[in-house]
Amino acid sequence: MTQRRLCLLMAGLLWCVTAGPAPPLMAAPAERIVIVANQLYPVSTLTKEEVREIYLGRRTIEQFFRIRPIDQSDPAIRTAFLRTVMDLSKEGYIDHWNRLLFQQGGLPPLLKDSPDDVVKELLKTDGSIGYLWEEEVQQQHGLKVLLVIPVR
Amino acid sequence: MRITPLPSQRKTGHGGRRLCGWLALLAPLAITALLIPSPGEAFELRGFGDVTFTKSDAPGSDVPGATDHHGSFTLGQVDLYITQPVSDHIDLLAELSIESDPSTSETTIDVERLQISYQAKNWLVVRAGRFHNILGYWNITFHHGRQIQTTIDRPRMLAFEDRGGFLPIHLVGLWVGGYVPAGPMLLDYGVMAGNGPKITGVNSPLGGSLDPNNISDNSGNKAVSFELTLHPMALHNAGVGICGNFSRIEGFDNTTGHQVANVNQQILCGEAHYVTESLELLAEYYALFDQDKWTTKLGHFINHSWYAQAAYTFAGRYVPYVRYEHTSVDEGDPYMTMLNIVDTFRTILGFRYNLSAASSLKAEARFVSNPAPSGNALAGNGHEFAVQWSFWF
Repeated sequence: MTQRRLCLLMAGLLWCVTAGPAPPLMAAPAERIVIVANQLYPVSTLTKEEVREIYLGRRTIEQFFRIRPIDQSDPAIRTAFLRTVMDLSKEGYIDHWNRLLFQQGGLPPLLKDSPDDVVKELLKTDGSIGYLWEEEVQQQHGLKVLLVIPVR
Repeated sequence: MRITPLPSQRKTGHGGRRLCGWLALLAPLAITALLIPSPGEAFELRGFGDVTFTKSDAPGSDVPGATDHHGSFTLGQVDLYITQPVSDHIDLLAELSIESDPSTSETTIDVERLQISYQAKNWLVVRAGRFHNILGYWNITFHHGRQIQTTIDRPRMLAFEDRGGFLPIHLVGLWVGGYVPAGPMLLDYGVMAGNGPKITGVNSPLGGSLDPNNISDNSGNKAVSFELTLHPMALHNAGVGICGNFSRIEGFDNTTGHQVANVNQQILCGEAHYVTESLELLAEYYALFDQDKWTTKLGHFINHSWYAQAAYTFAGRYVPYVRYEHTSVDEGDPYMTMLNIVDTFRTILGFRYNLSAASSLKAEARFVSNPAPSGNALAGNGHEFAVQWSFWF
């Protein structure tokens, strides 16, 4: 009897180790980054390539507005944005801008600490453009959504 | 700071007068900038520096220690730059270099670049000031910042005018350019017009040197440059481009100051580059078509110059690299003769260690061959070894 209980206990332990967590009831939605802009931003949509040109400093004027790109210091969204849109590491991106400013001057992206700071800047500054998680945008009014990109 | 002059270094001169001239050029731009409403942001001053040790027995080397065989330390340029948007559409950029003048050994301040730009559209940016000429990739990418270039030095063909260069590296005037989307490609174009260069110090023992005519133009013919570069949208770090420069260059005797030459010059060039965070592939080609307009021979001459460079970064720090350079001079070309440029082959093998993103150690071995006619002081073969500590602040 004791031997049978011991076997059952060991089988139970083995099941706990190998089974892992219970599967979710439904798949989690894929994370998406939203490119947002000030309401006065003069276009209503952008392609991923156009966003990349903006954050590379090659597209600086939209109609008559000077584009003011905004970055986030939060590593999760910044890394996802750089990987998905820019195809660059954080170090490569910073190096690109350091070189670009030396080569031709210009206006580097403004670095903000939090999504709230990004939204405040977007609401305040004409021609500003930034990126947020999709759920952060759904809570905001007064922003123009230009592009939604699934994170890769 | 005073440093003993070295016989291998070329004459440039005009330290004090150059500074005064630059101040005269700087003043109107500074006043313009002050009159423009500023958003109140502070100027940020950044820069580059380096210390290099070179030992060379190569003939015609322009590095200190080339002729004395015992090697020398060289304090590189202290290169300072400022960039600042002063309004929604107007930007300023200045690059100033503090360096020892090779001819006088006195420390001088050179305004290497000074430009004010108006961005009307993505495809229309108008700039005025002093620029690096839009020739090829290297000259408009690395400027005077040795930390951001992989190697210790620029390719020999792209040497600065006051270091024995034969290409018009700088230009004072106007620059119109921009980016134009073209389907799956992005077209980067530029047109420059400004003072054409002249050659001073012709018939001096070390040859004459190109003078970009920063303050005034000695002739009415302006130099014109152009560039067209295609970047694939899907491959933003790659590009293929063509470029050119058209000018008339007069040469002036070292002792009398009289004009002794007049050359019509067309430069046609092309470049291809692919630069990722780990791989760097660069290649540039220049053809110089010179027409002698001074002597009765009225000769036509064609010179070729090219380089190819490859580097690969391992683990973000270790960068072995190689570069091959070749310059072929058409014998009798008055332009190349005045500047004392001869056929040259250079092979460079190097290794760079990135101490950080802002500082690097580099070591190079260079194999130099100058198959110039016998009797020419620059003829012969030789080696150079160089080590550099470069930084960015």
